[in-house]
Amino acid sequence: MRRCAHCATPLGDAEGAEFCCAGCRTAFRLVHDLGLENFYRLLPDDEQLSRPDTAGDYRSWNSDDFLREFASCDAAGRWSVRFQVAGLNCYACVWLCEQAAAKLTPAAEFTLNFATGIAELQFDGDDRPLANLTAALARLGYQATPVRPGEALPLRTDWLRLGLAAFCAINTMSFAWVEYLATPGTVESELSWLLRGLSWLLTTLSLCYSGGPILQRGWQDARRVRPSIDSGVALGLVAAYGYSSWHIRPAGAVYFDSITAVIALLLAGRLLQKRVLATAERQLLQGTTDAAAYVRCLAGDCERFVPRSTLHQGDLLRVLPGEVVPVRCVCVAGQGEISLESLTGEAAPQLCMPGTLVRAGAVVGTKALTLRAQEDGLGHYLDEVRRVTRRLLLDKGKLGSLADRLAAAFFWFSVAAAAVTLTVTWVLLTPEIAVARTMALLLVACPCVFGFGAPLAFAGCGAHALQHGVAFKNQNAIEGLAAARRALFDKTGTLTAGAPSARLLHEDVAGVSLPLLHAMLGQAAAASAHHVPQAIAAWALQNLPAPQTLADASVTEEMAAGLTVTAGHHKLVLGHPRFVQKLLSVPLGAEVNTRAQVCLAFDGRLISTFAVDDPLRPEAAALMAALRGLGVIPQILSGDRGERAEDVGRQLAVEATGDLSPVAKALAVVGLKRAGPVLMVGNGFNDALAMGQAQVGVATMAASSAAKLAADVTLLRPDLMDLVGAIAMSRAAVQAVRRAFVFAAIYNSVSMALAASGLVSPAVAAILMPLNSIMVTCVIRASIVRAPKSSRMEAS
Amino acid sequence: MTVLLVLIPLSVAMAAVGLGAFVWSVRNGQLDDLAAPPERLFIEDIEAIEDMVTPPKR
Repeated sequence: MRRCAHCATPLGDAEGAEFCCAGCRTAFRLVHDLGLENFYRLLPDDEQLSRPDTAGDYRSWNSDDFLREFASCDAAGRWSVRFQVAGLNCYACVWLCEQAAAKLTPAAEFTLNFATGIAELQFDGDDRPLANLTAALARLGYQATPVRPGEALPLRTDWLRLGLAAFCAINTMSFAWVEYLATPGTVESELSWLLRGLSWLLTTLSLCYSGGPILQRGWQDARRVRPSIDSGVALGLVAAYGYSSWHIRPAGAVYFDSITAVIALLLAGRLLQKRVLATAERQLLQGTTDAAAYVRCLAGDCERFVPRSTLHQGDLLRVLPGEVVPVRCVCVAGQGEISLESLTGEAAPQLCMPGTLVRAGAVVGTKALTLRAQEDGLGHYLDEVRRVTRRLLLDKGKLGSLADRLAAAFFWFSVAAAAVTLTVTWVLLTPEIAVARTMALLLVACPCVFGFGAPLAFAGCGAHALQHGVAFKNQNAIEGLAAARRALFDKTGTLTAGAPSARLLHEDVAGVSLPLLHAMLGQAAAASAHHVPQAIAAWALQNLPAPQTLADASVTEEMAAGLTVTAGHHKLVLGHPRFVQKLLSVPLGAEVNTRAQVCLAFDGRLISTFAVDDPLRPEAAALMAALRGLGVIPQILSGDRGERAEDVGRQLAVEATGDLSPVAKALAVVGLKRAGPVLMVGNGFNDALAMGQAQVGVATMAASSAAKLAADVTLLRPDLMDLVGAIAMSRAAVQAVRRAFVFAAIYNSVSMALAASGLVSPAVAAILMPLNSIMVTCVIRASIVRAPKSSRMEAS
Repeated sequence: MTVLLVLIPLSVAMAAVGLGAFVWSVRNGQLDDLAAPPERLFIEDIEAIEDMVTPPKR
């Protein structure tokens, strides 16, 4: 198949076309003009780039206002600006951006961090290369969004904490083993003092700097009488530290090595989790930031397409159905629905009329709205999305919250056990022994497994999934996908190729100006995100004479029904037969047979009918079989006409329902949900409601931003079979967490019993503590690694 | 065994030098991006290839 020479989008059979859009042609020419053709050789074969958008004005990036807000200046007068670059797919993209920067702004220093997608540009105050560079990056298909100083910094502090903890742990452990291995009494007292003194120093360092955040959080949670995992860990660490400091003289029991080892292992696990979350967040944001990168700004009578970052408070905007509101606005004209579902989870759309306040990130429903911005566009929408995404990412799943509940119960249990041990041994034996045993008990009761196991399993699963083309939004998504027993699919664009072709069934165009008709169909396709106008426009391109230029045309669209184009005194209606009939208010007559799916009316008269065919994706049948193999029942919920949905259902041998409006789809999901967990796979704005209602919403790669925002899982590759791999991976992760919990419950009970009976000496604790964490890591690692990672593996 | 009284602090001091090197590398951003540098290693080679003018594969 022919592909776009720049972004590799399949072009179909169109003769002579080398590019899918004007933006790609510009990008290709720019790459050639800069002498960077090697980019296309560096790209992996299956990589599809994001399409560049030629519109866009980054001139404001050179303004003083911009620099004051986003740049920092050092003493030597050198400016430094950081911005997020969206659309980075692989290293070839990083190479292209860096090389382009080197050629365009040789005096400035440009670095692009592939892990975070954040670029930093350093330049002298006099030459301002920012606007030039960001506009060039946009033409290449990479959109820049500024980052405020102090935001989205790399994890340097976490690395430093971990580094210090590891340093302290290794030294303290090596000192401790001198005493463990020597025959009692043979270590000279000077040497013993030296070793213990150094260990105390290192442990104090480790506890204060590296363990500081754990102690702080543990104390805060305990004070609110909601002890968390950190409270248990902090209690164990502080008890062991206090006791060891008191018994620092030679021959006393000290636990310095256990304390430092626990801190180092906990920090390692948490750093790993943070890195995976950051990567997942970037992958998820990539699809959503593009959504409102450009906005329609109304100035006087003309409408300009400008980058969001140049938007100012008080500007007028027009937002079309399906588009995302870029900043907080107040509605000034138009009346329609807005959906806040991607922001709040509230499924019912809200009515918006002049005077209504609209939050950034809201999705406009059926009617275009004119809004007045209440804040500047610089970074605001992104901030909102990022806040929401981060909340979702940090939102703990059921097992995560189960871990919290268990940790709280375990905290109280270990406090009670410590109290009982203290009292009993105090009465029966000496106070000295009582304190020693209680401290040992508190240390081994430290619930590392709870703090370590679940995050590790989910982070591991998330990282594996990312490598295999699936981004999980949070733990809930992983748990939900593992539990799902029914998979609901949207048809158009999800199970089908989504690039349908129109077939003319009947035509009566006598007296209609064909160039005008062609031009109006082109307007319809440009204004709508729906596939039918696109297919009809593609048909027009092949079969109608070249379009004439239109002075003024306006398009109004009704979701999932059709649209109207008005140009001068001419009116064109395109859509579902029912929609066209409603607007024409005359019976369509016998010429519209049942096969017709789309009717076209011009100036109140039906002029043609079309059938629109959309072939099934090649992997659809294999996907259904693989899902059944996993015990998941596939089913189709389509907004398309009933017979078309049933036809596809017959081909794939699955139950299929058609004629569902977005709300009916969501209601169907609610009904099916009662029978067991469901997952909903979709790609469009009309699926977003249903995806929000299902336990897990899955968005395909080509999904609209509304669907991606509503989804818990996003497929990053076009292949639907990745879903099968994702289910297998999520099941493995949940299984691993369950195993770790069982293991932890047994392990901690046994070790606490041992401590209470006085069998846990510092040497035994030194072995038990890290061994515990390492064993849990191995259990989880083994469970995840054994999971089938490739969907192909699962299918074969 | 008194030599240990010198050797042990010395070993800690040497390890501290290692820690110092680690702190320096973190502060200099060496650990900020662990994904791109390994790839960069190979790309420099490609740039050096003579046949820069060969047409792109697409």
